[in-house]
Amino acid sequence: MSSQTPDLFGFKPAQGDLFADEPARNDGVGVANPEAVRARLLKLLAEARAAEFRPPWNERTTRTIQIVFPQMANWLPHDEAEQLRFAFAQEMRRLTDAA
Amino acid sequence: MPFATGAGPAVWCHGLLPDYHAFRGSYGGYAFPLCDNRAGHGPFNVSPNLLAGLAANYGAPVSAQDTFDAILALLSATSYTLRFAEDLEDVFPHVPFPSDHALFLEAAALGGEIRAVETFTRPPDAAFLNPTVARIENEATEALRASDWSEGALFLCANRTGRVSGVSAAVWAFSVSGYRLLYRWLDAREGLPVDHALVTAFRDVVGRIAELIDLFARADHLLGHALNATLSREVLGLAEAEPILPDE
Repeated sequence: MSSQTPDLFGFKPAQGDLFADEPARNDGVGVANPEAVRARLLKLLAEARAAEFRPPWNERTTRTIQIVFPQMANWLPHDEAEQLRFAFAQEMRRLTDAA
Repeated sequence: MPFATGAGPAVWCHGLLPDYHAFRGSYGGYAFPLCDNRAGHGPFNVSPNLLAGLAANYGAPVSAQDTFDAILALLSATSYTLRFAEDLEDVFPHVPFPSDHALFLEAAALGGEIRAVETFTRPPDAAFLNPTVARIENEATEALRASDWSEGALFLCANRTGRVSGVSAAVWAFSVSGYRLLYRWLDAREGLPVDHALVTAFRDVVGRIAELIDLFARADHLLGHALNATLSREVLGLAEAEPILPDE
């Protein structure tokens, strides 16, 4: 019998805890880990550099990455962020021209 | 709500604990409280992993309140339940978080307005409750027993007194999971005296519905833009969603 199965009187138990695996405390503000952000940006940049003729992601993912890459860089020191944004834009221009 | 999808908003914000059978007497729905007041928990009930994922992609801290309001806006959009009608029969509503931070903040601001109107935190905007809206044309001489709506008007009493004009077809037809709000509001109060308090409350509800119709249309515009580039669960760093188990 699943947790959502009604009992003999047709009563369905309250829904389960949707966030059972989450930490109990939640101060209501999400922030990012700059190290993790840096790793992801460098990975995306490496993927773009490795591509020859077109972006290495499907059209939809490419649209998303082009929007979030510059935003994500906000978590890094200003100069590093600017450098990464510039390098990524350059790669995307190259791939667009090559396509 | 898991049934009667395809029309109306996919979610509704309640200021107080809603009845299990809110809106539909036979199906129930799912409640997602924003706050968790249990000792050692909360104070918010929005997944910290989701907040962190959004913050990473938006390049800025993201609050639980903004996230809640953005979800409210995106899932209240006029076309949401129609676009995803088939999916909504099987799974929880998917939230198409926009990739663009500015669009997320716009959705959060709009959702805040929807929340305020739905939870009666503020009165309807004057643009939606001016003197021509739900105007009482003549005095009601009997207890409430409203007529059906016809060409922008209805009568509050069976003897066709208490004529009300300025109720649009859209307001009269507005429904949530098949539950026609204004009709059911009147029906639930049948037999009550048509006094100042009832008329004021009636006009307030008409104004709220009119404003919500406008807010949902604006949310639909945002949803259209959001769907051009959404954040996937993978990009947000969330695990794959588990399917809902069938009831049998």
